Amino acid sequence: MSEIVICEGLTKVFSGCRALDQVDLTIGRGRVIGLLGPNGSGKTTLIKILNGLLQPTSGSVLIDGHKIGPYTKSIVSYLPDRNYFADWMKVKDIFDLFSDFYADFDREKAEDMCRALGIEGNAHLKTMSKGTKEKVQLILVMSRQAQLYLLDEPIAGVDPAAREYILGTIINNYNEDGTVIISTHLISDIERILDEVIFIREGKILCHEGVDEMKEREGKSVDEVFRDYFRMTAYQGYRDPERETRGKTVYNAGRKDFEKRGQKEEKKEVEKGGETNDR
Amino acid sequence: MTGKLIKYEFRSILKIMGIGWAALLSMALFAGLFDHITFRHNDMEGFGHLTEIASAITSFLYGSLFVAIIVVTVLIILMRFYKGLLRDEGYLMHTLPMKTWQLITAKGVVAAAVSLISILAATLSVLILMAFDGGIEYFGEFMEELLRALGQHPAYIAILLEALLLGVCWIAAMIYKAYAALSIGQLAQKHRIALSVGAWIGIGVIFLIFLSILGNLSFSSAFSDWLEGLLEGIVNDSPLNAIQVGMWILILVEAVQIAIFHVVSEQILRRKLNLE
Amino acid sequence: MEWDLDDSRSIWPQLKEQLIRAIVSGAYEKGSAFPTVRQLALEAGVNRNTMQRAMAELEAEGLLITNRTAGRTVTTDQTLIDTMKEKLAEKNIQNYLDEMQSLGYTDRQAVELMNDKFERGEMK
Repeated sequence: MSEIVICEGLTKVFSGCRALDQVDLTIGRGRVIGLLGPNGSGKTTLIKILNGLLQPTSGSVLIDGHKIGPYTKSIVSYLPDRNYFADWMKVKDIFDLFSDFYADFDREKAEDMCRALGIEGNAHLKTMSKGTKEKVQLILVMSRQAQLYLLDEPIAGVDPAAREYILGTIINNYNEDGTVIISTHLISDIERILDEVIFIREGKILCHEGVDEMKEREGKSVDEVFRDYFRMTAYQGYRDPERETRGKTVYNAGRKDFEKRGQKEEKKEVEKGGETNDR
Repeated sequence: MTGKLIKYEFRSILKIMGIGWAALLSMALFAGLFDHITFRHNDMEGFGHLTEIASAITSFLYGSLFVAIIVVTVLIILMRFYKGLLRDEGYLMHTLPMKTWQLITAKGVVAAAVSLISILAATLSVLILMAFDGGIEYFGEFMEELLRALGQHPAYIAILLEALLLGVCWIAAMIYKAYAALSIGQLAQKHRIALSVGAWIGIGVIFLIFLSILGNLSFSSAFSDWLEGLLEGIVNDSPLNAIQVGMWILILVEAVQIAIFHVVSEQILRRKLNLE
Repeated sequence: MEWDLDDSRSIWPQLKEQLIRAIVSGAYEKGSAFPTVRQLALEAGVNRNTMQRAMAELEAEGLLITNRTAGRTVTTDQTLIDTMKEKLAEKNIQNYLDEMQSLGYTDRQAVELMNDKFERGEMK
């Protein structure tokens, strides 16, 4: 079988700003992939295009060899970064809806998983806490035997216990022939479950590679490699225009120079970054 | 599959509207009952004031419910489209394996049905009120008269049905006009509701201009000659035919509006969906 | 079982190492049923591909046997388990010697020192 996702020259422009810029991406089957980048790097835009919530400005996308439409939506299981339940729904209503529209939805599994959390079919979704709603939504998404799972920031803003539950639910339930794409900026929490990573910044793919190859090459965790990549961006903010006009080599030398001098400060920054991530 | 969408759309509306319809009908019953007791049996010593108060309260509540049903029907139709397709719930609906036109059609069909049921409930509530004052007999007489007239002139049946169809089309056109306005409104980053209202007014203006151009056009000699010839052929022997032709033209105008608004909404939501 | 994983290295070789350790130490008895990929993956917090790869290596080395019906079992071949155990022991000894060398002891001195300490009952 061919690749599950093929993007060519994918570009999305929002009021003059390029949210995605000439993205070429080929994604294989049966992989767990981290779509990693800071906030506003284009992760959500890419995911929304893959599930048809946005139309690209230019370029093409194929999922399982088809253009985005009812067929691709029937094999894609999408977890948005927000809650999509209607006010009137009970848990069993949303189960009805999923069974009616998705042939690959395993209702029994979803019911079991809800029961394990003490959530009954008659419970009103409207009155649930935000955390419980998120869990129900995750259960719905992971109870499908989909070809492609698109999980947008599944662990953002949750406590460690919930994070463990979420990651456990993902790795225990995805369809083995299917591919899972998890977008996040909290890398250390999920890197153990990844086969591949995609780094994205300002709408461009910086790197797409297997986790083992990356670790072998760099001798570091994905989290550390990610920080290296994105630390450079921070320094570019301090670019000395005079130096820059003198050419790239000088600029690079300057950067190393700066890195040494700034090492202590940098460590502090990284630690701070870690703290915010934990919240 | 559109049928399944319609099923869920109905379920989303049924609870709140069902309560509203039931409340309106039962309040008509109470108001009629107390009114009847107060004014027909005012010989009940001591109870007179009590029933008078009850009658005033129930009549007031009935009136308020009547207005509320109209307002709620309109609001719920707008909200189901806005919240269901253009806000967070849209993340669920637009990722179902459905085509955009199916999503819009399901909303439109249910909205039209809910409008009709509301009109029906309102009519029924008036009949209930009338029943207590012997009005049901007048109504019966009226219906008898009507049926007799229709029996004598079967052509009126067609006109009556056409009038009903026109009514339904008019309601559907209004609903779809609102959908088109909301779809245009969601294109904005901010002030979406304001843009929707603007779009609603704008659409009205465009149609007025269009109709006046069409009106002028029909006065141009060649076209009006052709039209006259066409109409004369149909109308010649009976004025009823003229009414029917008029009805069908009006129905056609509404149907064209429905089609245009549907396509506009569908194209915008398919190509320019802008959730968030 | 407890998993101790280092994110700066590839995960599957670490899983393999720790699974071998569990088998030779007898945590999973000879000939007993072995947990499924899914169970172990969930326990270690890794995805199934990664655990699958580690277990495939154990199968290739003969430590795990796959039966059509009964799933995976631990090998009954005691010699194989002993060989594996010895390999791990050798690795530990080598680590000890390397560490001592960095402190300035020759291999012989290191062994003698250990022997001494052991004889005098200073080692637990």
